[in-house]
Amino acid sequence: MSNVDNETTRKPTSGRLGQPYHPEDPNYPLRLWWIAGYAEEVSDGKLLARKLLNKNLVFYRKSNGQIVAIEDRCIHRGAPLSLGWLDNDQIVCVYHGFRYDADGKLVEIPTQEKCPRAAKLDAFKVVARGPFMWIWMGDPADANEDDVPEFAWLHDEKWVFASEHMLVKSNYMLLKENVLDLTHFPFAHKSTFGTLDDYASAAKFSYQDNVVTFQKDFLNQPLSKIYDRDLNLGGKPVDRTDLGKSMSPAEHRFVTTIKDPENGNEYQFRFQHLTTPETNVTHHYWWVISRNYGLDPDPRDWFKQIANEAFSEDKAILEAIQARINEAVSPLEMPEVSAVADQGGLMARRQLKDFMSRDHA
Amino acid sequence: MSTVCIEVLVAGIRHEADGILSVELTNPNGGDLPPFTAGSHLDVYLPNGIIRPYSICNSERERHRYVLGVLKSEASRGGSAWVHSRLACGDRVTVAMPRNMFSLVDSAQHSILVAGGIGVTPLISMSHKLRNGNKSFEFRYCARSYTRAAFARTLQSELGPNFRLHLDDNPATAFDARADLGHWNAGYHLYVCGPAGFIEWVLQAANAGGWPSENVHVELFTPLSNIVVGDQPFDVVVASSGLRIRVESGSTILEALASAHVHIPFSCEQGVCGTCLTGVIDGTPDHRDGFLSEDERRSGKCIITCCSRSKSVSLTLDL
Repeated sequence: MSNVDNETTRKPTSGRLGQPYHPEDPNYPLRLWWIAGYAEEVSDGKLLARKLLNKNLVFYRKSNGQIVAIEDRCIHRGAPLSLGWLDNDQIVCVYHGFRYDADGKLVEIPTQEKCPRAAKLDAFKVVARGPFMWIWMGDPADANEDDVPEFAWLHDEKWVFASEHMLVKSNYMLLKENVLDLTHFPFAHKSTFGTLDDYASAAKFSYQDNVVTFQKDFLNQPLSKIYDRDLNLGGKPVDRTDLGKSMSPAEHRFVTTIKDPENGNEYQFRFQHLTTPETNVTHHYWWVISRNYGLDPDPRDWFKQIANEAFSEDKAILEAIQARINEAVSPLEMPEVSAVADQGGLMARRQLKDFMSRDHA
Repeated sequence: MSTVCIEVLVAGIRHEADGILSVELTNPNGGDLPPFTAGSHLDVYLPNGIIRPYSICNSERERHRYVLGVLKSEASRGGSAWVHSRLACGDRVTVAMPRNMFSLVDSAQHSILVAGGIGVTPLISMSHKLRNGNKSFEFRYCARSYTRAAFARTLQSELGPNFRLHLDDNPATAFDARADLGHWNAGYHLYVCGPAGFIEWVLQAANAGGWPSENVHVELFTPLSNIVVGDQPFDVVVASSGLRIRVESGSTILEALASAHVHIPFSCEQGVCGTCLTGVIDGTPDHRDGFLSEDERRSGKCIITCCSRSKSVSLTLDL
């Protein structure tokens, strides 16, 4: 028995463990609901172009409100349909006016009677839930809308949240591994989150039922400034538990639960890291920061400020790493040695392998 | 990696029930002992050369003593039999520092402790902690008969309605695991300890009741007689050649094999990356890694050689 390996992926020839993401190899499952963007981005009458999982897509809203996604490429001579316009729930190509319906079927060629049967584009199921729209890019017959995550707290009046999109020039797994190892805080974020030296020692990790979890308890200690802002417990000792979970390759959530032992009150602060591959070497990243305390005054500008400050620091590092991978002659031979704190990221690789194996089931 | 050991004094030995003694260990200098948390166990280095793990059953608040419960096992190859016949008050014994592989989850909303026979020991310590913390819990103790139910009297008087005794010889008191574990609620945690068959029965009920695996905590007391505990030496056998190599206490399988010119690829040397993963054909691995899945661990068919050891005296590797 050798290393745990998926036979369909490339292996390093040296036998030494190397960084595992080859720029030419897709590393994402199709049988999974991925985030496509904010539902509100697809407004009436407009076409939204976006690349997900190496596919150029065009999104629009039908007159009944349903969001539709089809391949963003006219099957005639390859013009992006997103350059065209919407008319009566159909896309009109800017080049020769070919028309497609919401199923991607070519329904009109202006200069002739018949449309060839072969003229069909892929259409993808899109479900709007909460602030997000989710897309299924596997076999449509496998899409189960019940599996689209709810994120109930994002439409709960006791919570406040902010969220923004970033396009990061790295493979998405680099970000997923980043948020599973918070020992980078004192270094990568030394001028922003750096004061959180909570992760100077490793957390406890587990991989069960296809979910990677880490937990760290901070018992009977004063709260870090980031959580105490607008809670104002000062130096009062409280119990805090951090729970980080990679729920799937698409979704990571980090939940901090604070308990005031004096009155038993519980507060929660959450960071969500939602990732969808754009290409093998770039990805869409939607972050969500939320909490169920300090709703007034409105903290959302502050959420955006800390997110942009800190996440741009991560972005810069991940992009620098990816740039090296991209220019490497043998990307899989770049040697890699792990630390104990990498347990979570390494489990996320197993999680990815398990999710991808469902594509072949 | 070596084990830190301390010398303790046998301050008392008590008959608790048929076949069960409690042993009270204290600091020979009269001071505090190293602290432990509820659910911990001590590896006791018996003077006859055998090492046995025993759970600590007193409250973690008691810094002056460790109280162990020892069942005289029929299959004993000299461990519990020695304790029952040869150990005496005033003896000095070597023990390793308390180790906890079975701890309480602080955030639990409600804890259910289920003990089978001598498996009651770590749960008693847990019940002290839960009671001291005013936490919601219930304690189910399953024993063969009243005369064999060690500590039952004390538990009954201290815990009142939170404690229920279920005796095999009195069907009216039977524990209906399927009914009582039938519906998991969020925040509920289950802690089970006892012999393998008992644990399996309880886990089946929990499974049927929809208990998620991260809310079920198990400590298994095995009566296996060729068990190797702690960092004791053991042998590895290279299947293809039959070569037998000793892995000493301070060494790892990886190192021992390398010194015999059998080279396994390795990288992190911390048990997290999986590079040194090797197949196991015979023997029982003692998994110490952070890489294998639960299924892989249970299968016993593979091992992370940079850090894991062996529960059996010998391991045959697929090399």
